[in-house]
Amino acid sequence: MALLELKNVSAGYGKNIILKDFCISIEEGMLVSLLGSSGCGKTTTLRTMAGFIDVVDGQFLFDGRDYTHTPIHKRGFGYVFQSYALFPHLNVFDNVAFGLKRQHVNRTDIQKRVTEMLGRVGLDGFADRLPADMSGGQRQRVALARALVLKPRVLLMDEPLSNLDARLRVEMRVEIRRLQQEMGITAVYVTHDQEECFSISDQVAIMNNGHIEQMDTPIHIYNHPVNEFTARFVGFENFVPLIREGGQYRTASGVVFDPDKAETRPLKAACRPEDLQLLPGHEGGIRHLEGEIVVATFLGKQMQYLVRTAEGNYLVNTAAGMLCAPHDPVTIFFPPDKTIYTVDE
Amino acid sequence: MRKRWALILCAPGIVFLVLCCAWPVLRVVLQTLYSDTGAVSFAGYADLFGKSFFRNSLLRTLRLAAITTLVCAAVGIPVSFYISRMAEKRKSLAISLATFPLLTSAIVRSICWIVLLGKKGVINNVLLAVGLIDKPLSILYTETSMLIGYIQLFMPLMLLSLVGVMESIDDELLQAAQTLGCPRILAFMKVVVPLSVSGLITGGMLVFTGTMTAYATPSLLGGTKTKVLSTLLDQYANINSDWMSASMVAAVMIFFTIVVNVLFSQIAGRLNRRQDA
Repeated sequence: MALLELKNVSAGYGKNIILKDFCISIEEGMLVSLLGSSGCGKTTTLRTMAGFIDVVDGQFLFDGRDYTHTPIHKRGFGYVFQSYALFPHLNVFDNVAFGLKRQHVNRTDIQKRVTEMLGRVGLDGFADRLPADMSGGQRQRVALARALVLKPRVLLMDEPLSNLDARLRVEMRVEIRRLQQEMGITAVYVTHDQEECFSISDQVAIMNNGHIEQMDTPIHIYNHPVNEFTARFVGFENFVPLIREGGQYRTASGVVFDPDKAETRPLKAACRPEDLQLLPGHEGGIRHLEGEIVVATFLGKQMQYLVRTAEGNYLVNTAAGMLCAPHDPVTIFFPPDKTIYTVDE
Repeated sequence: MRKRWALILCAPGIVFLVLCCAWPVLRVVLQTLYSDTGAVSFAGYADLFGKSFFRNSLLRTLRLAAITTLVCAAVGIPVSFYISRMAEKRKSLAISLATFPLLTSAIVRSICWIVLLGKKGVINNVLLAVGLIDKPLSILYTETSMLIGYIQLFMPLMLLSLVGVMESIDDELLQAAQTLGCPRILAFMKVVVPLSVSGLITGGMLVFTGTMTAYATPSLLGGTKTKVLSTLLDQYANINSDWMSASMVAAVMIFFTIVVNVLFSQIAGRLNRRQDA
């Protein structure tokens, strides 16, 4: 059974309803990422679970119980803010001890648990510091420690790494994953960074316009995006519109594609630039598009070519050894195992 | 070079303050320290503090200032927080309403209170008509009416100091406290109140010293039995023509104003070191 479940929830800010009839269900012990560009509703979803936003319609279930209108402080979920939201008037120790004091844990236990937690997040010896005296990465650790010291069953994180530099981001995401697994916490992680979320999540929900486009394991989404939106999100480009004619899918100029799905609606074939094959000269055939080089760009390990074909312009990355010049005639080949087909909406 | 320029630019202000403020005040204070024979003596002060009505006035002044400050703080904290969370347009409206008392003369305001609070005033008439009381209450010319006047007069200063500080407190801090198990009210007490201390101190300083030195309000709303230092000073100077005593009362007022200011800024200094560091 799912630990967290939003059932047909509508929620937003005042009259601005962002989630409409929204559903998601999250299993215990999972780290689930909500991925999407800004304004897609991922943070609203998280804040709805935390109780910061009033649910207009629908239900939020936690462990099978109705939590739709449970006040924030009674939910017992940890929350890590994008801004960290550390209490500036309290030192690190008191920030981390804040929740424990509310639970009337006795003084020696507070001392013990806070010290242990600070050790776990790598902040030994920082107990007396004020948040203003710390770097972004250290504050991030305090924010994590403050939430985790209460041993919550659920940890909600809102773009926790977006204020850190690239190196620290990688370090901290490994850290977050380690702590989440060690402590067996169910976590919901909001981000707009695809690499970040694919690297730490058990499941990823790709969101767009207040609904989920696809929710699955990172590997499955990466290899089998269900529609053009998710496909573009995970790096697919080179969409070729196909129409069905006489039992076959063809491009406008008549090149045949052979999708392995039982489908009759118009489709689009797509392939990542690095998975396309570039053949010198013109060569007809199934999944072969003839064209000519427009722009050649040196990318270091690879060359990238913009190729003009009868269907449009497509990007192809090749090994750096293969050199073509603008106006060279070439053929793009879509390998069957690297080509996906999405319904053309 | 920069220092010299700073000095030159400040010079007109410094000259003005020294000539028109520091020098006269110093003279008033110094002359109270000399006896008729020209020797330095504290006899005048010993005499003044020996009078019970002076001691009572002094204590009343400090007491009223303290109560006014506390009431302004207690009312000001929630109201300012409410204002600080308003949308921009409504906020500026609320702030102009809050500061409106500052824009009217203290005399006009006090006379309004006389109309409202008097034996035959609006409040007594209404209460009598409704039948809640049999005889009119005596509110006017008591410490109560003075307090009402003071609080109305100085509330804006507290509100303005607090709204400024509270605007900079992020809502997420309150939400964070709530996710850590605090109900909303407690989160407010544990986060917003401590983070507003600097505003409370500025506001408190303004309200306290303002109340201590206000003249029009206590002279119109207070009675002969509720003299405060400022009205006592006026009586010595303008009625008894006892300039020596008037000067000594003035010196005592100045002394306490300075003490209060030093005290408040020291608390502020200590708290700021804890917060900003």
